[in-house]
Amino acid sequence: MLNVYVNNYVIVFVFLCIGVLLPVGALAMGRFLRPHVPDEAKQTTYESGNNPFHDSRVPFQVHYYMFALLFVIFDVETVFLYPWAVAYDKLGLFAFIEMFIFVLMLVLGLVYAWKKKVLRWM
Amino acid sequence: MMEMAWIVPLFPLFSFFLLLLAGKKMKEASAYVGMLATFVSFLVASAVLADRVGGSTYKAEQVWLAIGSAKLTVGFEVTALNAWMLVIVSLVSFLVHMYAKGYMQGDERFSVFYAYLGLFTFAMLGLVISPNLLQTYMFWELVGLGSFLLIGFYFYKEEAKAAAKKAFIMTRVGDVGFFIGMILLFLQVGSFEYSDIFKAVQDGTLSQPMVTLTAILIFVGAVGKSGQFPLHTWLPDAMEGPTPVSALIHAATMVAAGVYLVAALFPLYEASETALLTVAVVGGFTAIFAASIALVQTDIKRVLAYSTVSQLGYMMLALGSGSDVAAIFHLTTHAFFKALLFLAAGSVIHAVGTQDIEKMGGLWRKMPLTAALFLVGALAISGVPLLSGFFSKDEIFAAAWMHGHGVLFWIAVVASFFTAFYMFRLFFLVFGGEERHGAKDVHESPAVMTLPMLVLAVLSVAAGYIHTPWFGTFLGDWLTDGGYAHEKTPSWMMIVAAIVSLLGIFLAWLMYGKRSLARDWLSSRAPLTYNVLLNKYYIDEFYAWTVGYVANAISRLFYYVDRFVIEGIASLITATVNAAASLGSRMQNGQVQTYGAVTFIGLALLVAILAFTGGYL
Amino acid sequence: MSMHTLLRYEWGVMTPEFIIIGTALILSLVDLLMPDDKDRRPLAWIAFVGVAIAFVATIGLIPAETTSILHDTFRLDAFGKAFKLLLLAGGALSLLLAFDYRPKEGLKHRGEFSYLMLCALLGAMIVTSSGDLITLFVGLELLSISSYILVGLRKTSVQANEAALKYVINGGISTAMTLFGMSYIFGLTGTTNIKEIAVEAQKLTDGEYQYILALAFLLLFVGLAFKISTVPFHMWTPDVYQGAPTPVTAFLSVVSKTAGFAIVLRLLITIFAAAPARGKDTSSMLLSMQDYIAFLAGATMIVGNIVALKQRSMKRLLAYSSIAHAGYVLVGFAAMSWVMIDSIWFYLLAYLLMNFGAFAILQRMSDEADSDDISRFAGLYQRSPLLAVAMGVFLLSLAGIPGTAGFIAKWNIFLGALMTEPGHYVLAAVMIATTVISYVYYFGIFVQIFFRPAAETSSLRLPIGLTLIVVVCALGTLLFGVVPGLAYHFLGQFEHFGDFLQ
Repeated sequence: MLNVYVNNYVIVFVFLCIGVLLPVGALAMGRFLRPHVPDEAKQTTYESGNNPFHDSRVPFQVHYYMFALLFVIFDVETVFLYPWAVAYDKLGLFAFIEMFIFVLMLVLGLVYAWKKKVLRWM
Repeated sequence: MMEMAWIVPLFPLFSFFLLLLAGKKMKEASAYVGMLATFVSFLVASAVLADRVGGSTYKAEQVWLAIGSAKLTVGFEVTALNAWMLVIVSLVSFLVHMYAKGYMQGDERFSVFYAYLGLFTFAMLGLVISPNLLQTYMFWELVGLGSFLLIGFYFYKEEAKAAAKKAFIMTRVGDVGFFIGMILLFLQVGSFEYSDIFKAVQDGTLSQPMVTLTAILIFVGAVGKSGQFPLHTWLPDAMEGPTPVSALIHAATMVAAGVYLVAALFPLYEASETALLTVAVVGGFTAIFAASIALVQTDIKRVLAYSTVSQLGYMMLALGSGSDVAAIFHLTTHAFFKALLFLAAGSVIHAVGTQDIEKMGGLWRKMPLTAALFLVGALAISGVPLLSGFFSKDEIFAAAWMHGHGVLFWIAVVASFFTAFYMFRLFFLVFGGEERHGAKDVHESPAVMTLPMLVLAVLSVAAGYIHTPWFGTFLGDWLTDGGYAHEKTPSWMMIVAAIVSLLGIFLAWLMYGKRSLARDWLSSRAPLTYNVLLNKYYIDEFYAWTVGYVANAISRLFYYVDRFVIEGIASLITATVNAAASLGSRMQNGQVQTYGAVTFIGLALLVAILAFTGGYL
Repeated sequence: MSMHTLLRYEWGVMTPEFIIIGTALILSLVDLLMPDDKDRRPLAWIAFVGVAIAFVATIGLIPAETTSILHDTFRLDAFGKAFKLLLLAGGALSLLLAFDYRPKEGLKHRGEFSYLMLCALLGAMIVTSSGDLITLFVGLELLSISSYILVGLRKTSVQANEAALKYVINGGISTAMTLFGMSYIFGLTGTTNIKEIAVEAQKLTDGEYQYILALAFLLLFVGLAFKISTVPFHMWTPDVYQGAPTPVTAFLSVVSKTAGFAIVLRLLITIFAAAPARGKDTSSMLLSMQDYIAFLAGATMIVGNIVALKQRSMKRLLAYSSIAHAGYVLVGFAAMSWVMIDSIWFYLLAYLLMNFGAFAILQRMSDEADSDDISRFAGLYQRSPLLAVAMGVFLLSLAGIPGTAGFIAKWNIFLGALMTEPGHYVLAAVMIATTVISYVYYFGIFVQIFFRPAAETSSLRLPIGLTLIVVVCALGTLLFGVVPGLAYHFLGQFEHFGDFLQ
């Protein structure tokens, strides 16, 4: 019985192997095939064609993150809304009330974010 | 009156609460609150005792907690033993309350002291009227808590703090035994009631090995509380508490609880010869062990502390020899003379301001009353004929002999010799000879301190006559409901006991008293006698070189055993736990990845066990 | 689903939850609409009143029959009722603590403090009466996520930030493990309904499936060990407890832990009690896994009590003590006597009383100087005798000294461990030994309070909220220590939670 269960995982395992081997193989192949003649100019780091002028780890505006978060939340909301809207006739009143509560909660969240001045840039 | 016995412990409890809440404002008046409470307790207890003398056991209880079919009850019981203990505890406690008024005068936490005393007395009184083991256990713990607070009363002294903690934790170690024994009894018998347990012992519901096991486990608790070897080390340290507390702890409460417990459960012990033997051997060994250590101590309270350990050993020996009457008898007389000795010692310390006997001397002239009272106590504890200690100790010797413990009997006799010796060594060093302390103004203690001592002195003399082979064994008859058969002991035993104690006193006199007293007094007035005594002095030398030397060596040996082996084992355990704690703290390095790793390793281990055991355990 | 079916549900059984959620919503709106300069401490009072009403509503629900609504995802049974009462009481006390919480740098988000606590409480309540893995998980996450934010609410405190981050990461690991375990269970039984799972699990006669079920058991247990902070998932506790604001620490140590035990009991007993196994008891997976639980309980007691010896910070000390107490409760679970749930419930009740009392006093002592070093307690007796005695009562109860609720609680657990056939002697011995060890550190605090001179002599004034907590907890601790029959009488009406599996 268990072997049947485990066999289902064989394919996962195969995928795992391929997933690991493919990049490793490709990079290794590249390393063997390419010529390797380093000089100073080649080894400098550059960014979009420019010479880097400071560390790449810099403090980030937290607002980017906030926006991203809010976006994800409302994106998920839409993901829920679409299937509900499509199947509205079948789901009936209960789902309507549920969805109403759901949207209400999200609106509350939006109001919260708004009042806390998350939506304002700077 | 017996149905009112439950009220006895409540007076000190009330005093505790009152002083806790209003003590700061009442200041010196706190003493009167405490005294009044314990005095009323004593009166009621006496009435209960009077009632019990003519009547029979009274017991009242009700269901406290029902878990399934198991019913736990609370209540109280007035047996002969309980009524007797009530009176002793409340009386000694009252006297200590009174004494402390003088002793603690001027302490800024005066009322707190009285509050703690109230709690302590309440716990002990509650303990002695408990009708079941569980209730006994609860008060037992409360007694421990009270002693913790009182021993650590002088908290600004490092030693006092350490002693308080040590007393609490050491006795707790014993309590674990008590607790497990109690639970085992409960699981076997299905009840904590003393009466049910005894019934189960009788009808064989409790198998023989189980009887032995539980009896010994509970005895471990008594060993801790009553300062028996090897859990005795807290008792001498507990001297760090104020002297009235020492008197209370050593005479009526705390240490008496262990003896009381074994006596209360006596039918359980009687059913197992092994358990009895264990009790007897531990008691006998403790008696000689502690007595020999007391020989070389120089702190007045430490001598008395080791003396208590030794005397408690006697009581255990009596119990182990099958005579609970002898144990309770000695408990009673010891309560009086040991309280007296402690109070007298406190009086001395109060006056001189040191506890080192090397720095005392000649106090006989300065404090005649204290000296006389101390002498009475010392004579009583040494077992000088006609005083209370003589009769109670004699009863123990007889019990040990009749029960066939020949070796233990002789050990007890030797310990009795030691007792007489160290008590009078103490007496002569403190009260006899020249003054060795500074030119401090030493004077007699106030009446509020001497009066309780006076009462105790009278009792130390008289208490012996409640149970003597000559005038009648009243206590024994009553405790056993008339079933007490005083075994005819060989008449030489009493003589041996008397001689041994007098010999000890004499030797002490030769070594510590005569040195100064005899020299000019005897040589000037009676040269002939002096020569005889000088010859005696050779005996003295002889003793000093043989008995004295050997005794000293044994004493030192035991002292080092005590210091290094017993305490060493204790510190080893402490060190192990500490090392484990350090290791655990180091694991807690604040790295979240370590925490995650611990979790995963834990899970992996569990899964590995699951895998390797072919399924599950 | 039509309106008809919708109205047919007995929504009344969810009254307490509705009250809490309503209060939380109203509070959040009020907080948003209030002018910025207004003091938000009264919000905690409103929240407190809300919880109190919910408490009364729950008491009103006690006579209600065992009901389950929403396709058996929400069930109100004796177990749920009893544990909800504990949770609500704990929540109410946390809110009182929060009301009087005054960190040195001030608390900017005081409004959030109240309603996040309500949300966490709601999650805990859902957990205790969910009949489905999904609602259970949602409740658990609601509790967890709210707690994560609560821990980090002192935004300017480095320690709080560290604590919050650690809590989130460890919480993530825990969630992953729990979900992994749940997925196995779902895979084996094909349903998320706990009762159906139990039925399906009984049919798993194949040894290898049973093996996977046992694996799921371990995953679930270790995952949930995070909430109850037992070995091996205990490491986060001291750091988080120390960094979190004191009311949150108290909340985590009592409410969150109670909820954790509620899940452990409900999930593990329902699913595994009747599942066949290969172990020592072939009729019950739960009994077969008993030794694992016992082992973890022993390890938890040892680790908690021993490491506590080394602590100087009161919060860390109480954290380790909380680990140790979780170990004692696990002993009750591992023993699996028939009074198991009763004794665990009583233990959690006693723990609630004594711990909240201790935390209330700790909060007062540490806010003063922004330090929770044990020496803050030095000479408390001189500064305020009554407070010192109250703290003494809590410590005695935590140590399990007779006369206090802590003793009765420990006693019942202990008795339960020995009552079964065969008795768990080793476990009981470990419990006793570690209890003795615990005296050392509890009495260390005791020594500080009573036997140390005070560093400062100013007398202490206790704010109203804290006074209320200290009084209620001290009285409760003593009351249930002297007449535990009251609590047992109350539990008696639940008849040992027999409707647990119906």
